[in-house]
Amino acid sequence: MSELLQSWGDISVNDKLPTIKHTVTQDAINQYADASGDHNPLHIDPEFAKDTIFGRTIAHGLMTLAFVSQMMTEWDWKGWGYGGETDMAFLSPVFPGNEVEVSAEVTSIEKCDEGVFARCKLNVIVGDKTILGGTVSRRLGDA
Amino acid sequence: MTGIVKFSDVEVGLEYPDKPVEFKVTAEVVDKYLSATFDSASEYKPESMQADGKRPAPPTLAAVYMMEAMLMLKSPPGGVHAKQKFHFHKPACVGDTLLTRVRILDKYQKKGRNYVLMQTITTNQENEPITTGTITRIWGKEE
Repeated sequence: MSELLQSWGDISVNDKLPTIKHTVTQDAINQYADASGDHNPLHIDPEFAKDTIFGRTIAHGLMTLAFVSQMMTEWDWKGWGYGGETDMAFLSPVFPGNEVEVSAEVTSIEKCDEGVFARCKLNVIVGDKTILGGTVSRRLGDA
Repeated sequence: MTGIVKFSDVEVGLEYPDKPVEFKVTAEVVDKYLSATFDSASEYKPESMQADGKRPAPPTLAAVYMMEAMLMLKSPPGGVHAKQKFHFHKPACVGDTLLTRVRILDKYQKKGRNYVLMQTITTNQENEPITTGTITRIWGKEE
């Protein structure tokens, strides 16, 4: 059984999370490929990427996830690292040169057997295009 | 398990590898990840000992330590990440040895694309759960 709350401690529904912005370059994508071990040519080989549906290289989706993690860390790293959750879909590619903006808003606070969680709707955009959709959760404490 | 696997050969229910993939969380690995993702959070810096007296890694380092296990089942070139869920049980820390196994949960076709759904389970050297991930991959087209 879970119960929906309007607030828990100093966290309330409709609260805004910190905003994070980063410009993704091909150099950064190459560095991420080295750091993650994911050398898919779609990310790092412009000649290969030219003939794909994207027409050029794209950033790793999980690189964008790292930016979401930064937002959650800034908000409350313990509630993120100990019991945090993500559920997201990669909707549009991020190309070299794009500036990615990550923000989110608390849409519900759920009290369940596992604890109390702030569920937040993500807004990850490049310009006016949504590139990543879904939710992210922070554990607020024991139920 | 080596080489590229055709979509038709992806076996739902398969768990691999027999011996979990081992990943040592070193300061170098964490530093490289932080640098590649523009992350300067104080919680993950070398002097931080905020996770039970140890230096925590960003939770999304999961994208790195699960990669080797996930990529043992190789898609033809051009495959991409479509969706990602993570549940972070507790932070991985510098000095930890992580063990990851993968299970193929499902595969399906939608709008002319081939999808594979996989679960990763990562524990530390104490057999404590660190991260559970669910990944939806679009399988690359076969030549």
